[in-house]
Amino acid sequence: MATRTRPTRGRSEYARKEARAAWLMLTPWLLGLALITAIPMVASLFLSFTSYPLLAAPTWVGLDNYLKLADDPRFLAALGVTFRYVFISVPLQLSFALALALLLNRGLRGMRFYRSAFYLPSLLGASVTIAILWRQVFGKDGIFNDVLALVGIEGMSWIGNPSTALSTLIVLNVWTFGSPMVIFLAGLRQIPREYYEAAAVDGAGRFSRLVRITLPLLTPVVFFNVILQFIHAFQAFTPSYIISGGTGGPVDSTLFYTLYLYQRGFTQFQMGYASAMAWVLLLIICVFTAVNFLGSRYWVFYADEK
Amino acid sequence: MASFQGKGAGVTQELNRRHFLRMVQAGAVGAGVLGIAACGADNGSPGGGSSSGGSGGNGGGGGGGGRVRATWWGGDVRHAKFNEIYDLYEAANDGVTIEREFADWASYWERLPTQFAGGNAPDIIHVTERQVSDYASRDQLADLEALAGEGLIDLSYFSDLSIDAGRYDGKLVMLLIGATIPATMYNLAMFEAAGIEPPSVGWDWDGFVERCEAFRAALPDGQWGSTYQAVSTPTFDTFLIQNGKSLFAPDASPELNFDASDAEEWFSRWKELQDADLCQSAESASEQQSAPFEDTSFAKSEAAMHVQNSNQLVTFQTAIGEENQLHLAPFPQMGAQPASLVIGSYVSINEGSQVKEEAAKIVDFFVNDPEANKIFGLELGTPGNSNWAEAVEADLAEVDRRVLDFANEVESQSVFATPRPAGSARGETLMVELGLAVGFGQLTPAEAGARLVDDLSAAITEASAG
Repeated sequence: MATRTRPTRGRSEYARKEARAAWLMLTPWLLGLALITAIPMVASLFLSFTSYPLLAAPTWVGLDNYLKLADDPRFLAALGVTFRYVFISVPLQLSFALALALLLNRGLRGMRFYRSAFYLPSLLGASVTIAILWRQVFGKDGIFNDVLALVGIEGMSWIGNPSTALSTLIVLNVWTFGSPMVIFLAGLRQIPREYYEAAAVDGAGRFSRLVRITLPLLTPVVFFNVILQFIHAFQAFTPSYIISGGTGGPVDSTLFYTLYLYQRGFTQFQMGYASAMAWVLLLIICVFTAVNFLGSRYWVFYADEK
Repeated sequence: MASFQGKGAGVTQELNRRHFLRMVQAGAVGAGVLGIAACGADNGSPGGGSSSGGSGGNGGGGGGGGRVRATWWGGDVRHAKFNEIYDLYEAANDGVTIEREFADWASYWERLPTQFAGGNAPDIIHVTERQVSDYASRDQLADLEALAGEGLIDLSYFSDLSIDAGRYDGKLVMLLIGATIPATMYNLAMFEAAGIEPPSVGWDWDGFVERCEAFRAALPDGQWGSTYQAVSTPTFDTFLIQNGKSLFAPDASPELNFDASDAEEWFSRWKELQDADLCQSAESASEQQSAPFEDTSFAKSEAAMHVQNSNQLVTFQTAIGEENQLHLAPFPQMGAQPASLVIGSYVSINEGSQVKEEAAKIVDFFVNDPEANKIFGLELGTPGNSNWAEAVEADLAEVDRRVLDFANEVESQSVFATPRPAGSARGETLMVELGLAVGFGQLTPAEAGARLVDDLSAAITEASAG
């Protein structure tokens, strides 16, 4: 680093060259950022203040779309469904991931195999195939009921019932605990062994080593996973779309926010309204993430801080 | 650990960016969600398939001499038929290339409006009375009578009824290529096994209930005489038509043509049936809403009667196997007089097309050429022109014959569906939602009836306001 700032001519020319090369190599990404992200985002912000039935030109309506949202019972229902999904499935998923990471970190034989096996659902979880499989598992004639039948419980259609349909989607999300688990494992690997050795010398038991060393030192990773998985869950779309056949049913019990947005945009062609919904969701996620960051001061521990 | 914090923040930002991207696409452009949906809504056919070579960005549909873009929805069988017909046309007309885009039903209706919005819609499109007003009200569909006047399309074999069904605001914007009747499809083997008389033209709701009772005595638990049809929009529309009403105003204005008490009667009749265990349970109906046909009670011979479009008899007969002969009867008379709703598949020409004449000639070939007619058969239902029917008459399969015979049998009580107002698509999801809410006892029939009227009129009013 220090050499770079030395004010010799040759160096600075080299630096300029290097900078040019960097920009050149960044161009594809910058183009993507502008064309696929920035411009459409600005466009959608504009559209959110218009009435845009897709087949006719957008007309300016000011804050109308946003005001209408407050009176829209399905919007509120979709928010309710999404919040329940997010706040139940993510903590469960992370607890699961952490528990398994702690288990796997004890140097099990065949650990690589287990790690891959547990990671697999994460790769498949958001896919169409798994959403279809889920119907086979939690349907009336599904595997889940077959298992229940073994212990003498008569099953029901878990996905067909408005009171249980969302739970099956929550289970689906919990099942994809693999990626936070792998991140937890990486975090666990970074905790210096000396701490444990010192603690063992002082006579600390397994539990107090977990609570006083492992968990505090793992908090940055926990924090990272919390942010990541919450954002991910807020955006969930495919499971509900596939399992409910795009309706968010039965009786709107699995109407995720994004699915309702999609319905407004693509079956009712209210692109202005859908854009407004997209920005409200963005705002919700921003606020949520900001609160998380503020709160993190009180529980996230960084080893290099005092 | 410090490094980890840095890394963590970086990835989070990256995720936010990705999140923005996804939302933006959903809100403004839709490409992302469209992609997901295209995979999702696929019912076993290669969804979102497109065989056209780089036709995406050429504005008003290809300026070059004989390049015509055509699009349709369907499954593999239908794609093959369209391809064969268009190949035939290309072979007979030097210099004409027909670029083809096809998808399953759901993806088709997501893509088409996006294409119109982007100004690159295909030249020949297919529509039904459910979506036509979205396009016709904005003058996006060509006047087919004007093109016929230029001698490009021969309309002389079309019945007046089928021509009138294709008018929007007096202008012929779509041409009937297949009429179908949402009807009671029944499993003859189940009727025979239980010794119950199968339904026939002229039967009414009481006869329907009696048969359901007889099946209750004959079938084990979890199987029923009928599926739960309260969730079906065309069936409800049929009931309304029997009372001289309809779901929407016949002139496609944003008005309903029924009131809450009609809907209440509808829901309560089905609820009574369900409470007496005479039709499919709400739970079973709910689960099967999104299931492929093979997994439904009707396909598994666990329900003897179901409502289906008559033209799909062939598909279902193939899926269910020849040992379970499927037959058709009209939806029972539930209202003041017997009536059957006829819904159609139509072909239209894009008003903005640069190659309107060639497109018109292709449409003419499609509906009037005996070879083309034979290839297409009754794929989308009964054609609107007599020469098409005659062309296919000779080598009609036995299943097709059943469909045609049924259409003839109920002809005197048939009523064509009229173009629906913009925003009407909400009706389909709303019926499912309310029908199931009644089934699960979350809403009373009266509450559901009121909700149907309120929510549906709100949807079409909003849509017409723009």
